[in-house]
Amino acid sequence: MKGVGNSPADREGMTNKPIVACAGDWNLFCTLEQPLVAAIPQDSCEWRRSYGRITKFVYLEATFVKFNKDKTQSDLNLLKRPIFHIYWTDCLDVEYYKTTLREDIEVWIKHLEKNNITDWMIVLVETYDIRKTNKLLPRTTVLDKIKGDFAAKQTEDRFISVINPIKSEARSAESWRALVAKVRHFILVAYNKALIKFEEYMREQREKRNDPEWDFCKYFILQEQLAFVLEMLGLYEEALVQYDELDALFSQFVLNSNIAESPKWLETFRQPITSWQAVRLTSLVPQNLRELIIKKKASLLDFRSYLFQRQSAMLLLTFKPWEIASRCLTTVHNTLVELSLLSAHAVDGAAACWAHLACAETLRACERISSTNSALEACTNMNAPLLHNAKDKLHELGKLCGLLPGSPEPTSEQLHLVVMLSAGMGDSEPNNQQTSTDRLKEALCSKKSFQQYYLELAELAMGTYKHIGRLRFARTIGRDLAAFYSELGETSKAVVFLMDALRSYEEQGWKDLAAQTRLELIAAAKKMNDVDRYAKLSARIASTAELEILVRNFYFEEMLKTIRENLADKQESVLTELNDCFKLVSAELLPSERDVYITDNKVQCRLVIESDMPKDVLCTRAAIGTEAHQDKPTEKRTPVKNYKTDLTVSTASQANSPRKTVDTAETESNTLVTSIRLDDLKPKNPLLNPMNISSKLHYKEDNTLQKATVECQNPKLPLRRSDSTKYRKPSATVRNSYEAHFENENIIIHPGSNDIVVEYVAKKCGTFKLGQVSLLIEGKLEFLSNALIAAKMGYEVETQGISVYLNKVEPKKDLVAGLEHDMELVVTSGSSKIEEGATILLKTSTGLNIRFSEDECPMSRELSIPIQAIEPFQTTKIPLRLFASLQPRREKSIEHTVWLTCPWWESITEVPLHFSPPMIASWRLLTSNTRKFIHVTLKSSVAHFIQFILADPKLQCDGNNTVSDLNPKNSGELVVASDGTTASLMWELLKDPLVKAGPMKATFTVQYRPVNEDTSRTFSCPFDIQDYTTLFVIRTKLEPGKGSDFCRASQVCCLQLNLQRVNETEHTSLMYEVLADQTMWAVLGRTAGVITMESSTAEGQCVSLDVMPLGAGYLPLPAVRLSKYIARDANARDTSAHPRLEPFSPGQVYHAGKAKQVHVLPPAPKEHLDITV
Amino acid sequence: MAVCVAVIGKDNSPLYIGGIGNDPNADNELSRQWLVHTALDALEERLSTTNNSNTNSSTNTARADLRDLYLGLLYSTDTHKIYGYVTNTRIKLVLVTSSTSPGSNIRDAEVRTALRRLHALYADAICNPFHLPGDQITSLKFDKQVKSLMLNNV
Repeated sequence: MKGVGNSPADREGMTNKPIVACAGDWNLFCTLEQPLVAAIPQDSCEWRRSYGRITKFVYLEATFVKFNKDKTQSDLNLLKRPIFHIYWTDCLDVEYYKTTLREDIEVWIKHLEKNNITDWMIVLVETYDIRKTNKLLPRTTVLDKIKGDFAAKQTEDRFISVINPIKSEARSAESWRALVAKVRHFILVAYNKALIKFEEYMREQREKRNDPEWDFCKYFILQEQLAFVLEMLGLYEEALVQYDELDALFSQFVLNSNIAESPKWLETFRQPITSWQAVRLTSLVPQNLRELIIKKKASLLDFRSYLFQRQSAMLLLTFKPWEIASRCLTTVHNTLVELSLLSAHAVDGAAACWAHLACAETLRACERISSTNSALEACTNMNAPLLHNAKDKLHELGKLCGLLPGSPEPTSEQLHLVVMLSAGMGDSEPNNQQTSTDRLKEALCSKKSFQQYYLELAELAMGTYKHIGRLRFARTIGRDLAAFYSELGETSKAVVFLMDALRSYEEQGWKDLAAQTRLELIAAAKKMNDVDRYAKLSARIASTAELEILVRNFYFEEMLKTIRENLADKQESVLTELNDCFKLVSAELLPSERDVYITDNKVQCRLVIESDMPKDVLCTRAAIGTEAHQDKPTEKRTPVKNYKTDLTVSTASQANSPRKTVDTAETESNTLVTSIRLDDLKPKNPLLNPMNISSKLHYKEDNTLQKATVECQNPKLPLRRSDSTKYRKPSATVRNSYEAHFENENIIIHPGSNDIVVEYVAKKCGTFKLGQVSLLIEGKLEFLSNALIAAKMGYEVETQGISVYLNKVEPKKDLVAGLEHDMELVVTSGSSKIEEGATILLKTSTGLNIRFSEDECPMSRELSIPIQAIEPFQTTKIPLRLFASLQPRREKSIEHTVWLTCPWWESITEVPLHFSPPMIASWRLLTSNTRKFIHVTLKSSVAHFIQFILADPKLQCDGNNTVSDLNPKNSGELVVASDGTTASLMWELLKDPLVKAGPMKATFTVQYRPVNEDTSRTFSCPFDIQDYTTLFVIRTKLEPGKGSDFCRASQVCCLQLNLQRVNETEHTSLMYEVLADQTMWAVLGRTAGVITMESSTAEGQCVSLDVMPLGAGYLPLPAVRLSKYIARDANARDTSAHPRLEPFSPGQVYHAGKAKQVHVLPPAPKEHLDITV
Repeated sequence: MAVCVAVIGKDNSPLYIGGIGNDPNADNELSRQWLVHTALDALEERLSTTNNSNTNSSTNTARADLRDLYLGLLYSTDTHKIYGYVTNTRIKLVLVTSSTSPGSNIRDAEVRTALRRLHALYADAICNPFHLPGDQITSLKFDKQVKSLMLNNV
C-alpha cells in the first residue's frame, strides 16, 4: 500500500499535483478536504487513453483550490490550471435549492462552459438521518432536481450524493468510496482530454522549428510540461521519453548547425561558459538551471546538465541506476562534441572539469542507489568506462595545470587556471560528505593530492575493468599508469604494467602494439639503468620488422654500444630468447665419412638461421648443447656376422651389456632424426587438405531435376575445430649445460638467411640429443633457443671396438678332421689403436692342434700370437694352420673349440669350430652257406668336393680269427670322393670251425691322402661282429602235385621245406613261417609251424606244404622265416604269458632257396611239368 | 566518416587494419590500433551476452539474434565511436568513426550497411584460393576497396 508519506508529492521540490477547483459551499468542503486528499492516492485507477495508448494504472494525488472565476487559465498551462471542478453543496431543502442554489450552480456551469471546461462534478453532501431511512423515500430530492435541471445525457454520472463521513462515519463508507473513485476517474478523463489537446499544440509548435523566430528554449519548457504531468502521474518512462525527444532534437540542431545555417536561438548556447558545476543526480527539479533556460541565459553546459539531471531523475525514480551510468558517458561525449561544434568559449579545462564531475557524480549516484546485488552488478559494468573517463579527464586537467609528475612547478598562469576552474565548479552543498567537487578541487590544489586521486581512480578503473573481464581496457589503463609511474620515477612499477601489456599483445599477434610497448619498456629500462634489459630490448627492437628502419638502426647501434660499454666488464653473458631476433630455420647433422659417428671424430651440424637484425652482426660463438639420450645404454653392437665369417667371433670392447638392452637401444635410437626444418614441426594447416567434395544431382520422381548439390563427404574433417593456438610463453631463458657441445666461433651473421656449421669431437660413445642452441653475439649477448630439444634430433657415437676373427682361408670349404687347414686370425683395430707388444693367446680343445703356417714347428694346443702395432681402422692377418686329429670313431661331425685371450678384453672368447670326418666306413657281413665275407664300403660326406686316394686297406681281427684278402692286388688306386664315389673292399672271414664262435672285434684301416697332397694318413674304423656263425640252412623245393609232371597255375603243388642244422646251438625249438606273396601264391593249410631240431642230422627236418601258384611264369619261391620259438614258461604263474618268437641274426640262418624261381606253366589239361631250379 | 576499419580473426589477432589518415597526430595509425584492440573487449562481452541470452530465450529469438551480425556501437571515446560486427565464423569487423570531424553525424543504419559491405568485401578477399584463412589479408584490391568504402561513407 502506498502511504501518503511515501508519495512522491511529499518529496521536496516536487510541487506539481493535479489541481481541483472547488466551488459552492467552501466551508463544507473544508471539513471534507483532509479525508479526501488522503483518500485519493490510496488506490490506483485505470487510466484509459485515446489513440490506443497503453492503459495504465495510475496513483493520483490532488490539491484543492477555491474556484476563482476571475482567474482563467490557458489550456496550454497544464500544471497551474485546475484540471477538474467540483461543486459542493449540502442543501437538502428543495425549496432552498429552487430559490438560491440553482442560480448559483447555473452561474458556475455557465462560467465553465464559457471556458470550454467539461470536466466538472456536483457533489451533494447529505447527513445520514436514521429516521429518514425508515420512511418512504421522498418523492424528489435535491439531487434529482439538480439532475433534472443540468444533466445532459453524457453528464448524468457527474451528479453524486455522499453521506457526510464526518458526521456518521460508519454509514458513509460506501458512498464515500464511490465519490473518491469518481473523483479519480474524472481527473484522469480530464487529463486525457487535456493532454490530447496539449500534444496537438506541441506538435504544431514543433513543426515550426525551422522558423527563424522559433525558440528551442520555449519549446523545451513547453514539452517539459508534458513530462512533468507524466511524472506527476507516475509515468516516469513516458516522461523520460519526452526528455529524450528533446535531447535528440537539440543534438540534431547542433549537428546540423555545422552544415546548414544555424538558427538564431542557438546563439544562446554559444555564450561563454562560466559555470561547470557538477550535475546533481536527485529527483528534484534543479530550478536554478530551469530558470536560466527560461530566461535564455543557460550555457550549453547548463542546459546539458539540466537535461541530464532530469533524465537521471526519471531513471532514479524507476530504479535504473545502470542506465544513468550508460547514458552519462554518451552525454559527456556528445556534450564535448557539441561544445566544439558550437565553439562556445570556455576556460581550458572547463569541459574536462564538467565531464569529470559528471562521471564522478554518476558513480556516486550509482553507488548510493544500487542496493541490490544485481543492480550493483549492472552498475559495475557501466562504472568501469566512467572511471576510465573520469581518470582521463583528470589527467587532462593535471596536464593543463602542470600537476603531472615530472612536469616543472606550475606557472602562475597554471595556478590562475586552477583558481578559475575551482570557481567555475561552484560551491558544494553544505553537507558533511565530501562531494566530487571537493575532491576535484583538492586534487587540483597540489601535485601530491592530484597524484593520489589520479592513482586511486586509475587503480579503481583498472580493477573494475578486470572484474568485468575487459582485460584489454585494463591493460590500456595499465599503460597509462606505467607512463605515470615512469614520470614519477617509479620505473619498476611501470615495467610491471608494460610487461603485462606486452605479453597480451604478443599473445594475440598485435605486433605494432607490442613494438610500441617495447619502445616504452626500453625507455623505462634506460631510466632504470637496467643495462641487461636495455641490451636485450635493443636487440629485439632492432629486429622488429614493424618499426621504421631508422629506429631499428638506432637501437642496433645502441645494442652494440651497450655491449661494448656496459657489458664488457661483466662475467656472465646476458641471456635472451633466440626467437626474438633470429629464426632457426633448419638443423641438419652432416653424415660422417663412415656410416656412423666414431669417437674422437668430428660430428658436424649445419644450422640455417634467419637473422632479423638490420645489419651484419658478429657471432662470437655459435653452439649447440648436447645431452645424453634417455635410458642411454652403453650401446655396443656385436659386429655383424657376415657371410664369410660364420666361424668368426667378434666382440666389441664393451659387450658386457645384455643383448636385450642393445636391441631396445637400437630401436630407440631409430627415432632420433638427423635433419629437421622447424616449419615441419608445426602442425599442418588443416585448411590445406583437399576436401572430399562431390557434386550430386537429385531427381524428382518424374525424372526431372529437383536440385543439384555440392556435398562434402566427410564434413567433420574440414569443420573440425582446431585448438585455438595457445600462446606459449617463450621458455625461460636458462642456460643449459654446455658440457659437451657443438661449436663454431667468430661468424658474421648477415641479415637474412645464414648457414652455420658447428662441430664437435665426440669423446664418449652413446646416443646423444641436440639440446639448446646458443648464439653469443659480440661476446656478451647470448641468444638461447630450446626449439631443437623437442625435435628429438640426435646422433649416435660409437667406439668401434677391436674385433678379432678366426677365418678360414678358403671360406667355402668345410673343415675336415684329419687334414691340415689354413686359417687366419684377422685383427681389426676399429676406432682404437693397437699398441706394440700385444699378444693373443690361442688355446684349443683336445685333438685340435695349431701352428703358424710359416715355420714348421710342431703343432701344439696353445699358441701365443704377437700382434703388430696398427693404427685405427686397419686390419692385420696372421696365417695359421690347424689340424684336428681323427678319432677312430664313426661320427658325422666333430666339434672343437678355440679360446682366444686378448689383452684388451676382459673375458676369454670362445670360438666353436665344426669339423666333419673325411670319410665314413660301413661294413656288411655276407654269408654263403657257412662261409662268411666282410664287405666294407667307404664314402665321403664332406660338403665340398674332395677326393681321397686310398692305399693299403687292412682288416684285422682279434682272437683266432683271420681274414683272407679277396681284394685285387694289382688294380689301380682306390678313390673316394664326396661326389658319391665310394670304394668297396671285401674280406672272407676264416674261422676255425672247431672253435665256438664268440663275438669278434675287427678294425679296418686304410691309408688316405687328398689327391693333391703327398702325405698319407691313416683312417681307421673299428667294428664288432656278433652271431655271425651259420646255424641253420633252409632249402625249399616245389614239386608238382600228384599225377602231374609240371607245376601249373591253379594246380596244387607241394612245397618242400628242408631245415638243416649246421652248427651247435642251444636254440632247438624253432618256428617257421611261409611268407608267400599273396598275388602269386596261395598257401593251403598252415603256413607256420613249430619244429624241434634236437640233433644235427644231414637230412635235417622236412616239412611239406600245399601251395597253389596263382599265375604262370617264373615265380620266386615263397620266403621262409625262421625264428627262435620260446615256449610258454610252465612254471610261470602268469597265465597270460604267451609263447614268443625271437629273430635270429642275419648271419645265423642261411636261406638257400632265397633267389630260386620256379617255372609255372599256364593251366592246360595235357601239359608236362617242368621244374627249373 | 569511418577513419579506420579492422578485420580481426577468430583468435583475436588482426588480419587487416586500414585507416585513412585525417588526423594530424603522428601516431594516428597506432592510436587507432589501440582503439580497435580495446574494442575487442566490448565485442567479446557483447558476444557472450548474446550467447547467454540465446540459451535462455526460445530458439526462435535465438535464431533472430544470431542472424543479426551487426553488434552496434561497442563503445565511444571523446573523439571516436567504435562499431562492431561479427561473422558466423567469428571474424570480427570493427569500424571506427571520428565524432569530431565534420559530418560525423552517422546513423546507425549507415554503419550497419557499411559493415555489411565490408563483410562482403572480406568474403570476396578470402575467396582467393591462395589465401589461407587465418593469414593476414594483404590483397591490394581489398585494401583499395576498403579505403573507398571508408571514404564513401562520409
